[in-house]
This record gives sequence, C-alpha cells and structure tokens, in this order.
Amino acid sequence: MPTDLAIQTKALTRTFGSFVAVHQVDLKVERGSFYGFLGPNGAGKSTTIKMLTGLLARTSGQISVLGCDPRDPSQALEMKKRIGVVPEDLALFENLTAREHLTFIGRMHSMEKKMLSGRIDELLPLFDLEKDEAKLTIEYSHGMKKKLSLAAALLPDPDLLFLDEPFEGVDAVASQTIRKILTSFAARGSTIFITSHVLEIVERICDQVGIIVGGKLVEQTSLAELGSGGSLEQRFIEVVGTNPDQAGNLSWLGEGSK
Amino acid sequence: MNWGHLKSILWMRWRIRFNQIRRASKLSNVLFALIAIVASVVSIGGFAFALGTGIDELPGATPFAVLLTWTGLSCLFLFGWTMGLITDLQRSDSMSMHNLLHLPVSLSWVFLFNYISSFVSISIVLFVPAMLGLCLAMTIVMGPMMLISFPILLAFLVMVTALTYQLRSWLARLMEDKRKGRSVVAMITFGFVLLLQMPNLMNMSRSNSRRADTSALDEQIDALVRPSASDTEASAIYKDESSRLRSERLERRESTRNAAEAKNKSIITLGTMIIPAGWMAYGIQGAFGGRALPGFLCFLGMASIGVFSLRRAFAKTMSAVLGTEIAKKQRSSPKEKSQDSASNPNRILLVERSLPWVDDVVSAIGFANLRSILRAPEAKILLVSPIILLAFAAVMLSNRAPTNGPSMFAPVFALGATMMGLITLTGLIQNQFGFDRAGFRALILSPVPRHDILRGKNLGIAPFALTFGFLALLGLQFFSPQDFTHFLGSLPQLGSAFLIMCLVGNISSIVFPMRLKEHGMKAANANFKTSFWQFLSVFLVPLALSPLLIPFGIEQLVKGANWADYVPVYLSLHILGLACVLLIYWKATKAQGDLMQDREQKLLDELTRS
Repeated sequence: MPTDLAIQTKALTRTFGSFVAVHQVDLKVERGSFYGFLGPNGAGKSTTIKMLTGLLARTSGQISVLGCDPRDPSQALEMKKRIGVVPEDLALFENLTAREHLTFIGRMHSMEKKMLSGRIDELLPLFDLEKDEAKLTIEYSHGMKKKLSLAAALLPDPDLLFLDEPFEGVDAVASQTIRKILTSFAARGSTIFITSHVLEIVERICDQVGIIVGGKLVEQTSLAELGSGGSLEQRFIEVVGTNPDQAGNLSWLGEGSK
Repeated sequence: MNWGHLKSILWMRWRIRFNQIRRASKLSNVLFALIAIVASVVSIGGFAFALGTGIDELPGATPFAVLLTWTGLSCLFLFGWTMGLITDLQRSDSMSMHNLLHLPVSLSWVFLFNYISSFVSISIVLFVPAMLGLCLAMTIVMGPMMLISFPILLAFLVMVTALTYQLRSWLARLMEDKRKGRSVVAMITFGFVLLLQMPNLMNMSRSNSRRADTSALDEQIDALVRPSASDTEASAIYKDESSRLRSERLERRESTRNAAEAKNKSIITLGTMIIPAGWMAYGIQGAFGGRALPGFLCFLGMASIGVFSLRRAFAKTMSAVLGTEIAKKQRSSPKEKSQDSASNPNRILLVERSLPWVDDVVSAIGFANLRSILRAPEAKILLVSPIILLAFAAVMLSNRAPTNGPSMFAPVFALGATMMGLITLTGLIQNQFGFDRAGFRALILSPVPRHDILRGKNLGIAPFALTFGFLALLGLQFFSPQDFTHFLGSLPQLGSAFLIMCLVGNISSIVFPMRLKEHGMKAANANFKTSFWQFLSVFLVPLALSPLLIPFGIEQLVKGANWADYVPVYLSLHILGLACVLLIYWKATKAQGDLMQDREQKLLDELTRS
C-alpha cells in the first residue's frame, strides 16, 4: 500500500475470539502532523497502536507506516529504524538503570557512541531522571518509567513517534516538559501519533484527531475543522454517546441536605 | 471488629481464592483438586497410622527412639513450613492491611485473623494430624502423664507460626523495596537449598573418613599373597593371617560404627535440648521417660517465644502500617552514597562495551543480557545450582578410591562433567526471554535482525556456561586426571557443547517461552505443554551432545596405527569439531531468527502478558 501518508490503514480489524477490539478502521495520518487518537476506555486505542508498531498482529486489513508494512519482516525492521514507541505497558528492562537502558536502545539503533552518550546526558536531566540514575527501572514509579520510556523513544530521533497515554501518571512539571518537547519535535516535520485521555492537552498540541468508539473510527478530522463546531470535549462526548447530565443523578444525592 | 466485618473478610479471602482457581487452567485445577484429595487422605491416614503404630510400638520403644521420631516429625514439619514461607513471599494477594486502613475495621483483629489464617497451610494439614495421633497413642500407652504432649505440641505450633509470622512481617516490609525484596527471596532460597544439602554433604564426607579408618587393613589384606594349594603350611599361615586381618577389620568397623552412633545420639540429644525447634521432641521424650519437668520447661519456653514473637510482630506491623517507621527509614537511606558512585562520568558501563570480531549489536545485547542476569535474583537462584552441584561432585570425587593412571574412559567423564556444568544452566538457556518480561517489547521494537538477538542472548550466557563447564573440567582433572591432550581437547569440546546447547535453547525459548514472575523462579503463565518441554529438555541435552563423543570413538579406532602416537587425534578432532559446530551455529541461528520473527506475536503474548 504505497502512500505519502505517515500512517495509513485500510479496514484494519483485530478480534480476540468473538470480541472485536478494532473494526474496519481507516486511518490517515499526514506526515508532519500531530495526531491525537482519542476514545473512551477499552475503545481500541492501544490495540490499534500495537498493530501499527508491530506489537500485535492484525486479524485483517492493511497497514502502512512510513510506507512500510509491519507484517513484512524486512519492511518491519526498516520501519522500526524510523519510529519511536511508548507502548501501553512500556518496554523497559527492569534490571538495568536508566542510563544502561538508554545506552542499550541507542546501540540497537546503531548510534555512534559519542552522540549516544551526549543525547543521554541531555535526556536524563531533562526528564528529571538524573538523580535516580543508580536505581534500577524496576524501582521506578510509574511516572518515572513513563518518562524513561519517552526518553528511549526520542533517543534515536525517529521520524514518527507513537505514544500511548504519555501523560498518564506524570506530574505537572514533567507533563509541561513533555508537551514542549513534543511540540518542537513536531515543528521540525516529524509525525506524532498520540493517545490520551486528557482532552485539554490534545486540544492544545494536536492538529489532527481521530476518535474511536467500540473499535470503530467514528471521527477523523483536523482540529481546526472540529473547532468550528464547538470544543473537543463537547464533540468527544457527543460521539462517545454518554449523557453528562445524568452523571449527578445519584438517588441519594437529590434528597436535600444531609 | 463485628461479625459483619469477619464475614466480609472471610468472603473476600474466599473470592480471592475462587478467582485464582477460575483464572487458572483446567489442568491446574485438576492438579489442585488432586493435591487436595491426596492431602486429605494423607492427613487422615497419618493420624490413623500414627495412632495404630504408636499403640503397637511404643510399649517396647526406648526414650531415644521417641526422641528420634519426634525430631523427624519436627524436621518434616519445618521443611514443609519453610517451603510454604518461600511460596508466600512470592505471593502478592495476601490481605494487605494497607487496603483496610481507610475502613472502619479494628486492625488488631485483622492482624489476629491474618495470623490464624496462616495456620491453614499444607504442612499443618499433613503433619499435625499424625502428631496428634502419636500424642493420643502415647497417652493411651503410657497413661495420663503423656497428656502433657498435647500442650507441648500446641506450644510448638504457636512458636513456629508466631516466629515465622514475625519474620514474615519483617520480610514483607523488606519486600516493599523491590531491589531488596528480590535479593531477600534469592538469599532465602539459596540458604534453604544449602541447608537442605548440608546433611548430604556431611554424610558424603563422613563416609570418606570411615573408609580411611580401615584403609591400612584393606591394604594389608590386598597385599597377602595366596600360596599354591600344595604348600599346606603356607596355606595355613595365609588362612590364619587373612582371617585375623578380616576379623580385625570387622571389629574396627563395628567400633567405628558404634562410636559414630554414640556420637550421633549425644549430638541429637544435645541439639534438641539447645535448639528451640527440638524442644517438642526433647520435652515429649522427657515425659516418656517419666520426667515431667523437661516437658513443662519446653512447653513454657516455646509458649514464651510464641507469645513474644506474636506481640513483636503485631507492634512492628502496626508501626509499619501507621507509618511510624518512615522517619527512621529516611534517616538511614543509603541513596546518596549509591548515587555518587553511579554518576561517575568516566565509568564505562558494561552495556557500553563491545567485543572484538563481534557485531556491535550482538555485543550490546550480550552485555545487556549479562548485566540483567548479574542483577536478576531469579537468575542468581538459578546460578546457585551449578555451585552446589560442583561442590557435590568435588566431594564425591574426593571420596573415590585412588586409581593408577587415567582411565581409558576419562574423555567420556570429561564430557559428562561438561554436560553437568551446562545442564544446571538449562533454566537460563532454555528460556532466554523469560526474565525480560516488559523488556522483551524493547527487543521486538528494535530494528535488529532477530538472529542477532538470539546470538546476543547466547553471548550473555556464555561467561556463566563456559566458567561452570571449565570449573567442572578442572575439578575432574584435579581429582581424576586425564591425559593432558585429552584435557586440552575437552576445552574446544566445551565450546561446541555450549553452542549446541544454545541451538537447542534457542528453539526452546522461541517455541516454548515461559515468563517468570518478578520475585522468583515461578512461571507466570505455565501451561502443561511448556512445563513438560522444559522438563523434557533437561533429558534431551545428553542426546544433543552425544555427537561430541565421535572424536573419542575415532581415537579408539585409530589407536593401533603407528602415526596415532604422534598426532593428538582427540585434540585435533575437537578443534575441527568446534569449527564445524560454529559454522552450523552461524547458519542455524539465521533460520532460528526467521522462526523468531514468525512467532513474534506469540512470544509477545506469552512473555509480556501481565
């Protein structure tokens, strides 16, 4: 499926037994765009990212990531040279320290030694991991693991970043740092594919969004187009189908003062 | 705590157990049911057997026999109990007090409930009924005096459970620090294995001293020359001398045995008197011998230890739960020191190193794997077995009678030693991705040919395999030497054996991967097929390595030829063999890399599923 798009899928489907996690999804992510992939819990966001990055096989459909098909072994390696990934459950070696893990990842990408150590020296303080350098990653908090995972994804300077909930469990300062890094990363023409529950952040940094509900892609548009019809949160709630007015209607809350 | 709380907690424990059973495979449930049936049968049978045998045998039994019986029962119980303790440490579903802190429940009751729940263990179910049966038999046979055995047994149970409960609270707090916790499990397992093997080692080394006791007589008997039958006088002298030496040897053996028995008797008696774990046996023996005081004192001692331990465990748990220990912990934090050493900019990390003539990516994976193995406690536990096995082999070899010159089959023994060194590492070699867990995703996401991943993984294990193999060969050479050229030949043989093992291990790791749990060696998702293969693979190793006997066979075939005396056939063939195996390894790992690529999804599913 030759394409100029950074990511393109056609009728992408994944089933687990009789459960359809992702159903006939047609994604189109332009090169250089900052794509926010949204959806409620269990909608199929992580399953989609896993299929796009080669961590999960598709049941049917087509995938093209930077012109490569992750199912083809030779193309998959070519693709992996050019992407950075922060998967849902992360991908860290628990018996290595942050520096060791980053060194290992850099060497897997055949990075030159001097450049590698220089980038690690920049990344560790940036993500506030320098002071915990002696710790093994198994001793890290979830937020620290997330930051290290993001540092590992950024290290080889990929053309395309896949980030599954990068802001989840991360403190406000780190969250701002990550936002700034991602914005400058996208500004130089690289592509970012991100899933997040924090709609405000997505609204602030993304230029394209896709909304998946129950495994089906129900919305795919630019944020500018979406903005004309109201806020992202409004649109999200509309397509997800929850009625927020009912949220406060607990039987015992409407019985007057306590 | 009110009745409602108690019911809720009981319900919660039941749900935890129920969900575990529901999530487990059918085979596990069948096994669980089988174990439960066997445990019930053993429990009831143990009671009946102890009662019946006790009534039958106790009237004629000596106090020492009673002591020995109760010591044996105590040891069996403690063995089972310790096993349970190690399993418990690796379990994370126990009723944590932290989960109840915010609820209106009395924590002291929860503590007591937790403690009483700890009584529901397999060792108590298996051994306590037999102990009760024996107590009952003693009371029936010896009269009301032996009623004291019941409170002694109870005190023993309270002491052991409370003491381990205290230890468990302490270990549980240590385990909160993941790094320390993993080391704790490793250390406990190591200590436990060593403790269990100690009697074996002692027994083996003692048999050596027994034989040495009569070796001079053995030599004299061997030195006697049997005269011809016609020389009747010499024959008579020979007969007399021979029978004198033989009876002297018999006497010496008997006296050695008697001395050893007397020594054992006094050691066991003293041991049970000094070590609290033996007080139950010592107290009951005292009562059996008509003395109530030792029994009473033992009861008092064990009950005091039990009560003290329980109080201490309660105080410690409460202070840990309520956070009064935090300030103390923070004061003694060693973090700063370790940070200084880690941030040394000139230090070259192990994962940064490269090997000459080895692809950089393979080096990187190899060193990262080595670094992980050196740190992973589960891997350290696996590495303990070769050390123990080597110690055993050394003791056994040192016990062998001396031989004149190297045996013709010395090269076969050398292959055996190599095999022994490598077989003990099967846990690492046959399941190379098992320790990676989430890290395996990083390998899959890396833009590296899969055969390089396999080669790197194999490289990471090489230092251990080659060191253990070499030590085994060196030990063999020391205790049972072979020709020097044969010894040299066994070195390339070790290299070939390792590469063959790796090829088998790669297949096993790709086709039957098994994710290991964080805190131990337990498989997180073992099914019957995987477990069976891992078991079977240990026996397949000798089969896979059998071609390495070819050089020995060829050497035996050409032995008669003139040129064979001038050419080190064995050594040359093994060097050639290593070159061939290396070539095969190179080609085969490419194919294995393709297989790994094909099975990537399955591997991810098995190894990274949480």
